[in-house]
Amino acid sequence: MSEASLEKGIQALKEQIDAPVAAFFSSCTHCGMCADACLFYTENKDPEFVPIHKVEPMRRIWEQEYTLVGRAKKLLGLSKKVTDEELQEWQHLVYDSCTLCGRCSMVCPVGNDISSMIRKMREGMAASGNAPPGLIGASTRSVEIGSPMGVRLPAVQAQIKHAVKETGLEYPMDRVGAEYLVLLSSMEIMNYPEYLQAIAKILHSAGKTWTLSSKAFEATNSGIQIGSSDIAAELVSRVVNAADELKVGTVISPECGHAYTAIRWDGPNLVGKKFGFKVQHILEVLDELRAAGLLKTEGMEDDKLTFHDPCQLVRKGGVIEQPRNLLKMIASDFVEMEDAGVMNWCCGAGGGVSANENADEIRLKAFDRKKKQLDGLGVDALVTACANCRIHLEDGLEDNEMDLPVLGLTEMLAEHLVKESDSSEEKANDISN
Amino acid sequence: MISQINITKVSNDDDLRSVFKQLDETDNRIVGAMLVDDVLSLTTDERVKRAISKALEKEASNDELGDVFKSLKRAVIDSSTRCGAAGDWDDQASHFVTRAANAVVTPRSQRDTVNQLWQIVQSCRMARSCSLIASSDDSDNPEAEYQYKIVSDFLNNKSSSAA
Amino acid sequence: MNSAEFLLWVRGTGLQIATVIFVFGIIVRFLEILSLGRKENLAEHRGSGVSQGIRTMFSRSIPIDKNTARRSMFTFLTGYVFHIGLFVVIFLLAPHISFFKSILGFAWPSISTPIVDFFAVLTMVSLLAVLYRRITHPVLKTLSTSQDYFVWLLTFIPVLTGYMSYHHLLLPYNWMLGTHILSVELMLIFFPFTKLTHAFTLFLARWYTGSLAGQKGVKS
Repeated sequence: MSEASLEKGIQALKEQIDAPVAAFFSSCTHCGMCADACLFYTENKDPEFVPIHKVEPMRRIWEQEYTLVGRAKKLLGLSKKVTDEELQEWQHLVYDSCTLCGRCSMVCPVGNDISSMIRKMREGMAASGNAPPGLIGASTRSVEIGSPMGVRLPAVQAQIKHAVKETGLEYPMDRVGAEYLVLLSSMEIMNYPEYLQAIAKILHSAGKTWTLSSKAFEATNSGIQIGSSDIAAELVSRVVNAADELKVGTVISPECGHAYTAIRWDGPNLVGKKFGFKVQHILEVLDELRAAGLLKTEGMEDDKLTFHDPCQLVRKGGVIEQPRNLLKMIASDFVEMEDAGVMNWCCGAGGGVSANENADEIRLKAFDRKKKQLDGLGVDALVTACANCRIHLEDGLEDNEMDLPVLGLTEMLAEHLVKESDSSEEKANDISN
Repeated sequence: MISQINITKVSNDDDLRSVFKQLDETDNRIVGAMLVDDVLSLTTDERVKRAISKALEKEASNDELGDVFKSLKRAVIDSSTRCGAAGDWDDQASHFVTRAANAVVTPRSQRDTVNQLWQIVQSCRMARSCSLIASSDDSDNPEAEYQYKIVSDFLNNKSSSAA
Repeated sequence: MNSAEFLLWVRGTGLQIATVIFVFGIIVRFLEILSLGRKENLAEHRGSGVSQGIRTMFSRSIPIDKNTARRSMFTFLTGYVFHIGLFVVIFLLAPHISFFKSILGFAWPSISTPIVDFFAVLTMVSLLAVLYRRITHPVLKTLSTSQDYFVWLLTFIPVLTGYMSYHHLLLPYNWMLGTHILSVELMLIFFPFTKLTHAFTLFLARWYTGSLAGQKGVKS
């Protein structure tokens, strides 16, 4: 990464200001409704957390560079410059207390896409060296090692060996012409290795060909989290190159929220060209299989279940109905929490917050919002489809002494797959009992 | 009861599952604890070691197990690597041992017992796998074979003491 | 200057200056925004950005769900009361309609003045409530700048002075009316350089946000 400086930061912010941003700043009336929609404000009750306030330095740059009166004031020496101290102060607002979840963008009465403005603000923060150390570390590891958590290929191969032994299936690497290129998040590789096994079982039973890539196994994009388009583009292009080289039809983004945003929606814009392949979240793939009759499950979960909507998947990603369609295949008692779907409350840990030690207390306090959604719902388990949401929800539940298991949807579906051969039928019946 | 278990030699996963289905509650716990005991060296967390040592006691009471369960739940979260932080495979190994130990002392009412024991099997194997990754050792993971032996020995000791 | 000269000036030269600055300022603001452009979204669209963009231009006037309305009830209610009040007072009062007719060449039905008068009072009451909240609520105290208070005055004073003119309060009628018209002109002059531009630019903002959401297949 190149040397950070205030000048670079301000230049980055200038470049980030486009017509939408200018329209947004022109329209904001300081009504404060965005605060009511933000879980960091509603649970931490710090008035500084009001979303639009997070981009105040960028607003001044807009005024000073792109408005008549602002430029006049600047000429006359009457405008307040953006300083390094100010940006340092803003780190707390831009990173510690925001996951880019997008609820603010949905409620703003004048239609401001505030979370996209905060994402742009991060470009200036990163370029001026004002991003949290945890994220700088993650980005550096991503660029140099290929994974924000420092996972290298031998570790992935070891996990694959383990998976082969457990499932008896093949885990192709660098196979040309497969239908799907599977990406994994470091979090899954390290903490939820069952996910890889689940995908393999499902794709195998559906008769689909797939592969991993030795050059691009990582889905997590730290560039998006820290707010550096350069880093984000570098990471995406590794996947694009691998997908192009392997001539795959579709790249599958795993159960990780921001990874989906990074590759599906930001990806082509970061690398500056349309993709020659499709990008789908694993749940989109599974739902397609379901609709085509290729995802055959048996047995139902008796537990009362509800679904936590990962913000990047549902509100920001548009994958809304698929998790519900899939859950209903195996859940006999599925209930929606209040505000479920597009307006569901973020878990509080994505967008770099969990990698940022400065945000620990704020993050755990923000969990109270999810707790309120769960109180009185009386469910036996919470299902979701993002590894980061999962670990944070477990953390929050444990912190609040709530005894509620958190389950991954893909793994659940794999557990309910109809088994193929006769000798395993007995095994299948046992497991689903 | 032990007399109903037909096999005394366990040599693959199917055998393991058959045995698990037939264990009573106490034996279920003890077998789980023995499996975790095999990978206990992969963690330094005293909470985990204490928990397993308690769980291995045939006469351990539900209250004692309940206390141990509470402290382990916290340990599981504490030992997880946060998303985006620098990962350490030795720490992950320790995390999986903790996860397994947690499953050993989880009150039976909460989860299905056969699945629970299977979780323990998986977590212990994963712990060993992480430890191998940490030392850049790409030899095959031997944990499954160790597990077959542990359970076989357990069954043999039981039937010989019953005889 | 006597009251007749004052009234003549605000109705003539004053109005011309204010209108020119207002129109010029709004046009400049639009040019400032649109000239920055927006890059094409190269990601594969899941749905239509156009239909969602247009829809959002209007749907955003209502909170997205009832819980959002509930949480922001004060802002939502008072906001609507004074906006509707302003609309009634500005566009449905007979003397105002005559004024518009002299510029546009056509008119429309008015509402009886006592009713408009009632709306004027409602408007002022809700504007005072909004001000109270801005001064006391922690979030609004954090956000608010001197411009917010200045704009509040720019909005409030025309309504107040109009009310006072109608009821022949404080000053002799001509002076009161002249003051009222001057206050409107001041509002027009400052309009394009303050957050009042939202009256026009919000359609752009909603369009941009709605179209992006539509491309992702999300109802915004």
